[in-house]
Amino acid sequence: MKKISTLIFALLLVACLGLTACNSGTTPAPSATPEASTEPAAPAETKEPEQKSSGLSKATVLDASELPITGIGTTVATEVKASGDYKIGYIAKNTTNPYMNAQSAGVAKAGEDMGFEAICQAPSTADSVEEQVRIMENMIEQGCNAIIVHCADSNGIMPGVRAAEDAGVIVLTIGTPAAEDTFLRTGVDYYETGYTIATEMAEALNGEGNIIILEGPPGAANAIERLNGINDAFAKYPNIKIVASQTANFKRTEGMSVTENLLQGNSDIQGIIGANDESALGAVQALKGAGIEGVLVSGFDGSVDASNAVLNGDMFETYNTDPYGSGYIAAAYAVQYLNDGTEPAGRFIPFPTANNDPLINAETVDGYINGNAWFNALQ
Amino acid sequence: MKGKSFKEIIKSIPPVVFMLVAMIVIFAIIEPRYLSARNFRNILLQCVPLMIMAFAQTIVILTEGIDMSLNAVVNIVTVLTVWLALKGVPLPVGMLISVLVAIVIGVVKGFFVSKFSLPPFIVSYGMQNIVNSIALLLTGGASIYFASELYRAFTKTVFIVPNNVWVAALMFVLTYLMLKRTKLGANIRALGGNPESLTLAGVNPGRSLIKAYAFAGFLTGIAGLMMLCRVESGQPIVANGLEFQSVAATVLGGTSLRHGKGNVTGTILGVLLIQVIQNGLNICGVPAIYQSVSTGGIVLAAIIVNALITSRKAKA
Repeated sequence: MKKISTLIFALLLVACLGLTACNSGTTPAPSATPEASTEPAAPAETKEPEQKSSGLSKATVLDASELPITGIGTTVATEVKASGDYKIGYIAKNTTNPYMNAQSAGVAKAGEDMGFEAICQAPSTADSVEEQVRIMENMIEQGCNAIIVHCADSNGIMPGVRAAEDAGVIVLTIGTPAAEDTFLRTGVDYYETGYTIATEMAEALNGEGNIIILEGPPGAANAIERLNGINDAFAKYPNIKIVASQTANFKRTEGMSVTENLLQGNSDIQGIIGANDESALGAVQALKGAGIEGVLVSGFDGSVDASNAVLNGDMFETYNTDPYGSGYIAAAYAVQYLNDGTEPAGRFIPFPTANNDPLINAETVDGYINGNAWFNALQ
Repeated sequence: MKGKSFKEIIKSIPPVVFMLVAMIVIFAIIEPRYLSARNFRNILLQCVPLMIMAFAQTIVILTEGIDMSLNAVVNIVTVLTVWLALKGVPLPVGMLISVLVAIVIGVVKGFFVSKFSLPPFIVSYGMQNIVNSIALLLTGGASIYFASELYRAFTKTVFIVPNNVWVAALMFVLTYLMLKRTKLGANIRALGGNPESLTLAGVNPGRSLIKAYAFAGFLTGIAGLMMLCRVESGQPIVANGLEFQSVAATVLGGTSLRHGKGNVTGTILGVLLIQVIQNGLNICGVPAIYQSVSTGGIVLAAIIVNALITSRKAKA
């Protein structure tokens, strides 16, 4: 025991010395933040997700006519054509969500339409940012000109972003942004989606009722932004009461079990918002099981099952976050830049936005399912 | 004798080596870029956290245990170090504290397994959930960030090889020496093979077990620091999934889940095989959904080949 503990202690000492030596020997990269590593004046605010992105560019919301593409969902099209042999990589967050697969399909379709080689990948462990960095490093090695990534984490992706920028590869993010501005960020503004859906529900309830929120995974930044949007919207309605807010991890089974458990305690519920369609659908099943009717259930993404649930009247609404079009528009901006150096109008151009009528409810659902729904691209 | 010894040498090479060579050749044929020096540097750089975790897993498996909480320990090390840094603790001191915490978690696991004769799988699974929850509590759910140049010191290259690979090499040497040269190493093997012999020899098996888990905890702590330097932030879920890969790598490297047979050298090859497969599938542009099938298939095939050869050896 003595031997081992001495060994460990000695090793730690050596490691510490080594660390300080390495630190003093390296010259800071130009992108480095001014704080020294041992500076105690740590930016404590960085703990808050909203403030973490405060250094990022604000959304530049464009009119549909100002975008490089036309349409939404499966109707997207573009005039942009690649004028060289480009390789564009796309990195999803996982392969277990149809949303990610549709985004991948959008980039692949863009490759066909615009004439570049699209390489679509995803981490084998769902939502592993470390694996996303690995894939980025591998794509740089593969000779990609641009990398489109749906970041699993803003800070965690940064080593990959830096490696790409050092190699002269432009980085475009969809959804969750990188911690520092990259060439472009697109996809929905999560906060806005939460705000829009919650406002719609509050209005439908005439500003009065008990609400359950099924949160996303505790570690996921997009889920937290969306939750903030939901809470901020409900805060405007004093008679809306959030009786429970618990994680369902974006999963249907957990949405179902969490709702079942919560209904034991509070049977007087007027609305349930799931942080995505899957958890909302779990809530629908739980309500059916308990024989409770008349509860408004909202979700996000406009998935197949959720759209059908809206059609049947089981769900109140969902938000078309159009992954297919997001992948397509990101590729269009990348190709424009690679062709002649055209810079986008901003560093964050959300797509789709309120300008694109993203709400899927009893009125719009028919046209959505039989028309431009992004999931139609997967069939 | 001489002819036989050549055959013996071939036979003594673990099957995972052949798999490794075969994979590299296949990927190189599909995509010539695969053979670039920078790509091999990437492979080494990328496998470091898993490599050190797999050393820890090997030690635990040699005691006929299994540790399902390695991912959680790596998660908490990245989170705790950054959390302490945000509270004003200098980063190197925070790193030291995090490694000590990792050792303590190891001691607790070892204590439960030995004192109450609980199955290691359950103890470590419970620990995984507890530690993961603490990591999430410290971060409030999201990742936390502390700016420092220190992280990047480990991706700098010294003598062709990135610094963090040197750290992994150092951890290998330590583990190797511990297993081969110290009394603890001998006791660990005995724990897996023949625990009664320890009692007969007057050694307290419980205490050896706790030491084994503590050493594994130390390695996992270092793996956590390497992960921290890779993602440059406190990530409460970053290593999830690696606990299974560490078991797979250990078994691929020829360590048996029972009887305390195996060695840490093979584990290196196991980790490299997993990493080479993943990197190769990326480079060759295999769609993500097929990657898991390919990785799973190749790993299974390797383990089956391994088992066949071992059983044939046993018969001969």
